[in-house]
Amino acid sequence: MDVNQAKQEHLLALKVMRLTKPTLFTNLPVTCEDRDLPGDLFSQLMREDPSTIKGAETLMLGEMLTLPQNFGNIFLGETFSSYISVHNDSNQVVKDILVKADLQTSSQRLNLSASNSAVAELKPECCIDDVIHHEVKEIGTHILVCAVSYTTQYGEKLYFRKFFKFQTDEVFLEAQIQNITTSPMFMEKVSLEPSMMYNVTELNTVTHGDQGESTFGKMSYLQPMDTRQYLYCLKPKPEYAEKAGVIKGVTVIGKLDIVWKTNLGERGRLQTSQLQRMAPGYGDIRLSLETIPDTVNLEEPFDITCKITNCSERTMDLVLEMCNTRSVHWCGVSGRQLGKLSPAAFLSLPLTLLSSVQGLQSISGLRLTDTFLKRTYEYDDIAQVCVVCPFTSNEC
Amino acid sequence: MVRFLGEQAASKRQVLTANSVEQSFNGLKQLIVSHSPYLLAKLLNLNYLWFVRLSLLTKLNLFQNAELEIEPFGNLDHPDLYYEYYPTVYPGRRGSMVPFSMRLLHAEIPQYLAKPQEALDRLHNLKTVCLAILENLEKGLAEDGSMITLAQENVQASLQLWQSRLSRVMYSMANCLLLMKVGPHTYHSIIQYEPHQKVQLLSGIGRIFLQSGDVNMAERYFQDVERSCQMTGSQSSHTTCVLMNRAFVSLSQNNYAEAHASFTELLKLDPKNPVANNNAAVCLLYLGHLKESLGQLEGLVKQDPALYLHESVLFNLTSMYELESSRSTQKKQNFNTQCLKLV
Repeated sequence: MDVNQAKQEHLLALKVMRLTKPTLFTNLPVTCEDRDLPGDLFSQLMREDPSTIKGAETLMLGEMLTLPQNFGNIFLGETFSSYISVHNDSNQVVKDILVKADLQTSSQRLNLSASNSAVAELKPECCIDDVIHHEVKEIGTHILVCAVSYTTQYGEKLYFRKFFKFQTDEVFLEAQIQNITTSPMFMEKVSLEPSMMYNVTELNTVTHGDQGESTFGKMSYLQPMDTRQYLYCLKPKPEYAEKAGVIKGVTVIGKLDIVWKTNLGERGRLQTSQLQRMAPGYGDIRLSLETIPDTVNLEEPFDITCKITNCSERTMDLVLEMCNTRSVHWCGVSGRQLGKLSPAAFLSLPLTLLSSVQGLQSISGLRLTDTFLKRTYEYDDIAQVCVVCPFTSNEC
Repeated sequence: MVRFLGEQAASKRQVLTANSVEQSFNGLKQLIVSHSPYLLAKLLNLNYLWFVRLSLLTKLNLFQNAELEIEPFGNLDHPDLYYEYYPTVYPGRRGSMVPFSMRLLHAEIPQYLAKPQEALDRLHNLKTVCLAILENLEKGLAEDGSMITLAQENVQASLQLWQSRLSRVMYSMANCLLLMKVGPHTYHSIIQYEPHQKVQLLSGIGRIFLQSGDVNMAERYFQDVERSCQMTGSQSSHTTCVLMNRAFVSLSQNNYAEAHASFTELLKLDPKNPVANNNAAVCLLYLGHLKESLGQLEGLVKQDPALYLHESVLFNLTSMYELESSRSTQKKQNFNTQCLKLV
C-alpha cells in the first residue's frame, strides 16, 4: 500500500503501522481425563501454556494481547491511529530531522504531526517515534503523506516522502425518530427539505404502480417508546455539480420537517436546524454510470454508458484500459485514447461487456491513465448487475 | 446412557488410577496371543491411541484431517465399540469402549470447521446424559438408573467424576457459543458447578463484553470480581486478576498509560507473569515507545525462552521488528534460528 518516491538509498527508514486496538488471544482447549492414555499430560501442557487462564485453563478467551495483524477496514466516524517511526539505518549521525505527517483527502490537507520542530540529531540505530490520530469525517480516498527531511554528517540535505492510501466506506443519511410520549402517534410527514444544492430522494416509500406504500407497511402508528428509521439519499443538483466539478467541503444538506398527529388529530410539528455535512469527495476523476441494465443474460454482451468527469483543475489526456475479471469480460479495444478533457468537462463513454458467471456480479476493471501526469486511476466495483440464465434450469 | 458406563463399571473394580490403563493393556496382550491382529489393531486404536491422535491433530489445527479420521466412527455408538461385542476378551464387562474425552472431542470438532450448530447439538446431548446420570446418583440409584446399591465412596467418586464431566461439557458449550458470537451467558451457569473458578469466569465474561465494545457491562462484571475477591480474603492471585481487569478497562478507554501502570503493578506482585509482561510491552508501543517495548519483549524471550515461545509473543515481536527497520528481515532470521533450536 505504500509507494516509494525516491530510488536513492536513504540513511533513514520510515515505517508506518496502523494501530487498531490489540486483540485477545484465544486458546483451543484439548483435554483428557487422568484415566486416558495421555494421563495428566494434556492438563500439564495447558497449565504451562503462558496464555491460558490459570485455574480455568478450558476458558477460551485468554488475557494475552496481540498486535493488529493487517490494515483492516476503516469507516466514517472512526479514528485512524497510526505509529510512525523513523529509524537511522546507517552508521553515521544524522542531523536536523524533520518528520511531517499530513492527511490528504479530496478536499483538504491536514497536518497530523504532534510536533513540528526538527530533531537536532539522531544517532545510528536510534529512532524518532510518533503516534498520530485522526477522526475520519469524509468518505473517499485518504492519503497519509509522510515526509522526512534530514542532513547527513557531510552537510548534504536529503528529503523523501512516502504515501499510504486508504479508503472509507459510503453512508446514507438515516434519521431515527422516537415517540417519547405516552400515547400512540400517527406520523403524518417526515421529510427532508433539501438546501438549494441538493436533490433528495426519500427511501421510505415503495411504489406499486401509481400508489406508494410506506416501508412501514400497515403499521401506521408509532407506539410509545417505539423508534422508526427514515432513510434519504443525497445527490448534488446538476448545476452545482457541473460548475465546480463536484461539490466540495462542508455543505448544508437541508432540514428535517416532522409532522405528527395524536388523539383526535392533535397536531405536533418539529423542524431541525439546517443539517451540515462534509460532502463526499470524488478525487481527480469521477466515473459514474449513466445507463446500465438491471438484469442481463449469461454470456450475452450488454451496453453501459459511463460518464467521466474531470474534477481537477488541470487538463487531462486520458487513456482507457479495460481489465477482465473472473466474471466480467470487456468487449472492445483496451488502451485507446479518449482525448483531452478540460477541467469540469465530462465525456460519455459507451462500453460493451458480458458476464460469464451467474448471479449478482460486480463490474470492475476500468483503468484511466492521465498521460500528462502518468497517473492511473482504478475503478472497481462500479456497479452491480444481475446475471441470469436465459434458458430453463435444466439446460443451464 | 449404558454406553457411558462401560468405563465406570470397569473402574469400580479397580482404583481410579493409571492401573486401569495397565489392566487394559494386559487384556490387549492376551489378544495379541489369542486373537487376530486385525481385531487387535481395531481395539488398540479405538480405545486410547485414536483419541491421542485426534487430540494431537486438533492441537495442530488440522481440523479437516481430524474430521476425516473420526468420521468412520460415526456417532461413536456402533455395536463393535462396546465391550459386550467382545465377550471372550472382556468377559462380563459392559458399556462403551470410547473414552469420554473422545466423545467430547468428537462433539467439539465441527465448530472448527464452521459447523458450530452441529457441535452445539452434540454437546447438548452430552450435557443431557451427564445431568441424567448425576440425577440418578443423587437419588441413590446407579448411574444407569438401576437399583444397585453402591458403596458410599464409589458414589462419591462417581459423583465427582460426572460433575467434572458436566463442567467440561459446559465449558465446551460456552466456548462454542463464543465462537458463534452469541454471548457469554453460558459461562455464568458454570459458576454453580465450579465455584472455585468464579473469579476467572466472571473476568472472562467481562473480557468478552469488552471485545464487543460494551465497556459498561464489562465494568459491572469486573466489579463483581472485586467483590468476590474481597469476600474470600486477599489472595495474591485474586489481586492479580483485579489488576488485569482494570488494565483492560483502561485499554478500552484509550488510556494506555493507565493500562501500563496496572500491568506494572501486577508485575510487582508476580514478576514472572508472562501475560502482564507481554501486555505491558504492547502498551508501550501504543504510547510511542517502540525501542523500549521491543527491548523488553526481546529480553523476556531470551531470558526464558521456554515460557515466552508463544505464538502471540512471537507475532508481537516480529511486528515490532518490521516496524523498526528495513533490516528487519535480518533480525527475524537471527531470531528464527534461535527459536528453531528450541522447538
